[in-house]
This record gives sequence, structure tokens and C-alpha cells, in this order.
Amino acid sequence: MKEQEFVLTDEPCETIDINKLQKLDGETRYIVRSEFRTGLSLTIIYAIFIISVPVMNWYKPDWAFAKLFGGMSSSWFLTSIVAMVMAFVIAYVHTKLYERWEKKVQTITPSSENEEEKETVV
Amino acid sequence: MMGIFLDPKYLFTMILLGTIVYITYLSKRNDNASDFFVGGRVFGWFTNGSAIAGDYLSAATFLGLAGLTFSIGYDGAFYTFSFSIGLTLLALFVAGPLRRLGAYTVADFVAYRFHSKRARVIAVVVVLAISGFYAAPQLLGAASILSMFFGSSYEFGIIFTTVVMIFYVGVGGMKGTTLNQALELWIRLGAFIVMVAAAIYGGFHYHQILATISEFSGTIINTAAFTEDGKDIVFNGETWYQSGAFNPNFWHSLSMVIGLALGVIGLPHILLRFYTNPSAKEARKSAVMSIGIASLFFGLAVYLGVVGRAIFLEGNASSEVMNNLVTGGDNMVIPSIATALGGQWLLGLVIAGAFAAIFSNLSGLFIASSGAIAHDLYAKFSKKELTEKQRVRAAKLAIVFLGVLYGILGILVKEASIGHLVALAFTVGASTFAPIFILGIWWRGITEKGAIAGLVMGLLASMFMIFFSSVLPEALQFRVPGIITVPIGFLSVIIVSKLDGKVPADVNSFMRKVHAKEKEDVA
Repeated sequence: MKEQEFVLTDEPCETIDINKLQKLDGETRYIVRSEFRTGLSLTIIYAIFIISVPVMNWYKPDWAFAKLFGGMSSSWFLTSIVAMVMAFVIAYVHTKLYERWEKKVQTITPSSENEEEKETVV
Repeated sequence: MMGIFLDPKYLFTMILLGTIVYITYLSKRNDNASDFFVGGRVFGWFTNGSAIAGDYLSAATFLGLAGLTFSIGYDGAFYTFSFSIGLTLLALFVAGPLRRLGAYTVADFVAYRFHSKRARVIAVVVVLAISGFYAAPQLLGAASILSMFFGSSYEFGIIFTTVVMIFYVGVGGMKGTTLNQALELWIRLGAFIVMVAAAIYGGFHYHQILATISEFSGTIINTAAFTEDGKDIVFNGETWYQSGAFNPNFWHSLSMVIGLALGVIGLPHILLRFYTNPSAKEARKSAVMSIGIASLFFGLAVYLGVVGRAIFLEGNASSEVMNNLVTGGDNMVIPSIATALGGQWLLGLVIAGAFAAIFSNLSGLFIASSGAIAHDLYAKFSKKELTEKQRVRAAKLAIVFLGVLYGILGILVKEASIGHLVALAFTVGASTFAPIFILGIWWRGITEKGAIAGLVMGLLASMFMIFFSSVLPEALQFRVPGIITVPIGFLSVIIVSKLDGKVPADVNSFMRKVHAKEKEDVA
């Protein structure tokens, strides 16, 4: 089946068996994968940090709530200070990486309107 | 009479209301649906980032998180931590692609992605369910503040707030709402910063007060006069300092993280904001800006909760403050700390900040829900082609209807807990829209039937866990049931899509549109 152009409508469109669906064109596949890979790698780092906090609290409480300076324990420090910085840093790094990657892609494909050139990117 | 207006709480609240009226008047020109629903897509990252943070930091966060930390200690900080994750995930996976789609409402995404009117209707039901769960506690908060500080009845508080909202959103549309939200964000952040500065100046250093609290064990002086049994309150600092007061085990903590983190991706009023940027690049920057503000806000809220506990344990505050901390519940902690640290002027600023939080969040919910009714139901299912003016008029009528509906809900939840109702809204969002948006943007294999199954199963599972979880074994009863409902939402989408296997024939073109390079997608 010929691929259809996406339009903003909720009028029914034809469906196609997922097994017969054409592969994404080279440039889009490259963009989707790169974007996803960047997001996923940062998410994994973030997730390890996020999960480590309750794991530490429940399975190593002596260590988690041992006082480091004054009454500040590692768990209080990670939960109420580091986590807030981390949320911002992950999003900021993502934006910077995306902008850098975008410049790189535009350098590779100066004229992205040409479909044949798009195919040569990957 | 003039004396009333020199009272700081009246003065600051009147200034806030006056500013809202002025901004709304300036933004009243909404000629077409794009102006009304997405503010003409003209807001840059600073304004929109402030507005997103304004939308996200509701009364539950402004008043509730410090209150939770005050009362349950570490688990209150952990609750805040769970809230702080979602916007970052939204920025990583959803913000940019969503803006590139260039739609008006959350249901638009679902309907356009699968070319399905059925999916649109179900998405509207979910939007209204989430908005209802979210709006009712905001109204409850507003009415409680009016009743506590201005002596009005609960019902008057609900009607007053609803009327302000109908004017604010109905006249200003998304333009007025965005500008008001941005301004209101800085008012409440300003209130927090002044409070933190006053606390540090007063010698409440974080590590020192944590040490004092954790080592405290025994009765708190000067509390007997305010308790029902006439005895001083007993407090164990060690229990407060560690986890376990709210989440009884690791799985409850994990469930909270899953529900609250993914819940943000499913909140219609937050998702909608990414349509108002001129480009995907601005949308991503807006997200980063809002995360920075929200993170700062969350960090300050936890610190202020700890300061509140330290002030309470000292027992030297005025009887008004001690009484409010004993009898006023979690939502009175921030106003009480403000009174203790800066007297009536700081209290006035905090009350204005609380109203700013409520108005900001409610206006976002009104816009999202009015779009669902006027744009997604009326305009899309009307037999005749509507003009732009008719669509805007329909949205304004929807706002009046929603005002009445939310007002009734607000009166019904008079005895409910604000924090709990908001957590339920997050649970529904995490189990319905989060799977649809994440998989819809990144996976070509999702089908219309899969999406509908995900929305229906996610909604039903959430409702069951919210209202009927008591029939389940105790191990499966979670306060924030994300660990059960979110996998149900995701698995329903994946399994039904795999079984169905019929994807829209334009899915490759859709992927190109939402993942195209920035230079090609400027509006």
C-alpha cells in the first residue's frame, strides 16, 4: 500500500498491517533514534538516581539516615537538595545535547528538502 | 472601612485581584480559536516557562508540601521529590514532538494520531475526569483560605473563586491566562524566597534544625492549651526524621514515584501549554525553565516545612501561630511560618501567593476543559461548519458551564484532603494519557484500538484503585496506586495494539512531522 500523507483530521484513514508497513525513511529514522537514544540515556541515569533513594531508605536505612553534617543525612540531602538540582540538570543537558545534535544534522544535510539527499544521511 | 484595606492580607489580595483584572482586560481580544485556546502560539520560553511552572505549582504544592514535611517529616520530602521528577520526563520525551504536531487540545493529539472520533470522545472523558479531580481540591483550598483569613463561609469562597475564574479565563482566554499565570508564579516564588531569607536571617540553618528535630523526643511545650485532651503534644524526632510515616514500605515509595512522576505527562493543562510556544525549540526551553523554577520551589517548600517543625518544637511562637500549627492542619503550616517569621506583612504576601497558586492552576484546568468541551466535542461533532467567532463563543459558554460544575464539585469535597485528591488526578493522568503520549510519539505500532483500550483500562483501573481498593488484599492497597494502574495502562496499549496490528497508513508521515528538525517546524 502507498504511504499516506499525515493531515490533522480525525476523519478515518486507511489502516495497514504493521508487518507490511514501510520502513521510515533514512533521515527520519536517524532523527527518531538519535532523539530517543539521547532521552533514554539521560533517563537511565536519572532513573538509577531516583530508584536508589527509596532502595537506600528501605534496605540500608542505617547508612541512608546517618548524619553527614549537622542533622543532614545522605537521604535528606539527596531527596531535598540533589534531586531538585538533578531534575534541572538532566533537562538542561538534554536541551544542549539536542541543540548540538541538531547543528550536526543540519551540517550533514544542508538542503534537507531534497528527498534523495535525506536518504544518504544514514 | 479604610483600615481593612491597610491590613496586609487585604492589601496584597486586592493588588493581586486588580492585576488580574488589568491583565485580563488587556488580553481580552481573542478573535479566533488559535488566540483563545493556544494564545496565538506567540509565547517565548520565559513567559511560557513561568506559566508552565505556574500551572504546575498549585495550592497543593504551595501550601501542601511544606505542610506534609512539617507533619510527616522525611516522607513529606519524599512526596515532594516524587513531584519533582515528572516535568523532566515530559521535557525529555514529549514537549518538543507535541509542539510540532501543532494542535489545540490534548484530545486533538489522540484523535489526529489515530484519525478516530471515538478516541477523541474517550480522551475528552479522561480530560474532564482529571480536571475534576484537580479542580475540586483547588476550590476547596481557596474556600478554606477565604474562610480562615477573611471569615467568609465555605460556600461563598467557592462561588467567589468560581466567578473570578469565569471572568479570568472567559475574557482573557489563553493569552490572559498565560500572562496571569506567569505573574502569579513570581508572586508565590517571591513569597517563598522572602520566607526563606527571613528564616536564614532568624538562624534556622538547615543542617542545624534537622539535627535539633531528629534529636527531640518528648513533649512540646505550650501546646496543651490547643489540644482536645489538654495535654502537651508528644513528638518523636527520630521517627519524623526517617521514612515510614506515610509510605509503610519500599513498594509504596516506588508506587508514589511512578504515579506522581508519570502523572505529570498525563495532565491536560500542562500538556496544553506546549502548544502555545512558537516552535518546538521554544517548547523545550520552556520546559527547562519551568523545571528550574519548580525544582527551586520544591526545595524551598521542604526547607520551610522543616523550619515550621523547628519553630513548633521551640514552643516560643505566638499563641496564634501555635494554635494554627496544632489545629489548622497541613495547609496552615506555611501561613503560620510566615506569621512567625515576618508578622502580618509576610502573612499577607503568603495569602496573596496562595490565591495566585489557586487561580493559576484553576485557570489552566478551565482552559484545558473548555477546549475539550467546545473544541473537541461541540466544534468537531457539530453538523455545520462553525466560524472562528462561534468557536470562541462556545468555549466561553463551556467555561461558564465548567464554573458551575467545578463549583458543585468543590462544595461536595468540603471534607476531603487536598493532597489526596491531587494525587488521584496524577494517578489517572499517569495511567491514561502518559502511555498514549509516550507510545504514540515514539512507537509506530500503536493502533486506534490499542489507544482506546489504554485510555479505558487506565481510567477504570485508576477509578477502581481510588474508590474500591479496600476489597483488595492489604498488600495491594496503595495511597498512590501508580505501581498497579500505570502498568495496566501501558500493557493494555501494547497488548491490544499487537493483537490488532492495524496501524494508520500515514504513521510514517506522522513520525516525520513530530520528529522533524527544528528549522522545518517553526509555526
